[in-house]
Amino acid sequence: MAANSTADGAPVERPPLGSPAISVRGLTKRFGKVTAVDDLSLEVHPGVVTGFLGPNGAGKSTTLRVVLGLVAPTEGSATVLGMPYRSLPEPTKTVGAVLETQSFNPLRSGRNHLRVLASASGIAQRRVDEVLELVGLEAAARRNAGTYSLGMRQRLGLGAALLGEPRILILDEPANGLDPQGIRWLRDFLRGFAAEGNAVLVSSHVLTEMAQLADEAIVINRGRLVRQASVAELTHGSRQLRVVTSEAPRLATALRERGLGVVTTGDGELRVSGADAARVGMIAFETRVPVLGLAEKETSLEDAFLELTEEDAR
Amino acid sequence: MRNQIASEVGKLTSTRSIYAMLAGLVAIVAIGVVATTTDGEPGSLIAPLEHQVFLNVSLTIAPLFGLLLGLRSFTDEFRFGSIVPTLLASPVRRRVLGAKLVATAAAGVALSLAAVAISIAVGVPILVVKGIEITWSTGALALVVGRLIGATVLWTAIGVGLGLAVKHQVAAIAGTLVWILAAEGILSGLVPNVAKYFPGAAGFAVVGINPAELLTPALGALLLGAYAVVAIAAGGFLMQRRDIT
Repeated sequence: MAANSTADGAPVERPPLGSPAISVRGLTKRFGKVTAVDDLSLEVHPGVVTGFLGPNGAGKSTTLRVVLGLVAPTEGSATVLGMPYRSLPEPTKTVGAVLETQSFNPLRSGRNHLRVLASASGIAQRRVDEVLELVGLEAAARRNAGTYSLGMRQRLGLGAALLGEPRILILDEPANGLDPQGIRWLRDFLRGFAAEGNAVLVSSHVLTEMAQLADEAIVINRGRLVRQASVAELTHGSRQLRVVTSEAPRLATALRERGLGVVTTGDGELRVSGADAARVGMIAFETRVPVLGLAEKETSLEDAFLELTEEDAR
Repeated sequence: MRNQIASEVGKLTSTRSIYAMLAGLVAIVAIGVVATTTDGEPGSLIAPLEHQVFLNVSLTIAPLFGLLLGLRSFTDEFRFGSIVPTLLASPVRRRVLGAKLVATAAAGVALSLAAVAISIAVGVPILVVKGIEITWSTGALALVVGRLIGATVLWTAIGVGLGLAVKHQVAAIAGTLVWILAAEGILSGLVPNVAKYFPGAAGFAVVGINPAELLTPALGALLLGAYAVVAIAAGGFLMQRRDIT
């Protein structure tokens, strides 16, 4: 991947990244009387894309901003490779971050925006043109950034994050404004970036995107950690079967007698948990109930997320 | 801090607004010089160049542009959200403040020199056409220009500090201009002995305008410098504690 390659495209061997790449411990942030983040602890490790999930207002952006030294914690700490962001000797060569779609002077060209950021970090100006090519903005580079579409703004932000060839990427809602190709490109890019032993923390409230993007998921709600698990783990575990039958009450009784969880949804459909399709099929056969449809329903990340945050709310 | 200064100079020169400000300054000064020289009292026109009344146009306007430049330095970044990448690249915030002070001061000096140059380029030929003989002392002229540069640099610093403290661009610029151009004028009529210690009056004192009623240039510079220190300290203090959300 070009983020980690020399100008002629040859991959560069980089030493393994320390782990955890990002560590948040006992973080609490209050704005006046509002507690945005409440005793939150989490770790982000290299080699995987970590999703940071939560509804709007859950405290994701505040947490990311504490990690990046933009917001001071009320209690607790956040470190990057064991150090506060502000103490990193070369912050943009360690962490690249995209927080907002608008973070540039609209009267400055995209190229000049990257140039002033490069000089602030002591990064060679030729890296700017490499990055413009990498994010596909060469054609618009000399236009004022104020004329850019939302997707182009996201690309410019990502370009700024990649200037220092960082080993850690932090992206706040990066899929906003990207078209399907853009999201696909971002997914491939982040996957490749993580596969090289780098760390990625990407926040979103759009769970369908996250299911595609992330390997690990950190779910927070109302400032608190709800769950840290792999995306596979989150979507697994609560697998359900959809059973369509002409004699729903009889089958439901039979399944419940055998200790399975059954929810009737009307229309002769049952939601069964605690057994696989073969077992449910056998029970139906023994009970002499006709089965008209039998399908495994994989819990989407969205369902898992809603379930988790609802449990938390109770 | 060299990287930060290079970045700030890059920011100043990579949008059109600095050139628009330069063009505006040149136009205002040129018009003002034409007005004072064609309309000037004969007594003021025979003085040596360094005492020409037409120079007062650049002496009053250029520091004001320096102030605007300073006020915009941080407020532009807050307004456009570019403060985020700026602070990500330079998380030690006082370095950003220092770099902005240096870069805006340099730009202020450039604006001042342009203002003096245009006033001489416009004013002297008009006087010559009027048949007035121009004399000048290089030392005295240098002193006038030096005071202008000093005043402009201090004003840029006040602007940078105030902009950082206030954060909101319109509030910062409108508030400052209303104070200097209106409030101080009214107060100087009511309480002249107090009003001469206000920042605007101190700024005019630095460039030697109205010496009968204002402080000496040296005292003015000292006072204006103190205002600059206060503005920077206030802005810097708030910046250290402020959450960028």
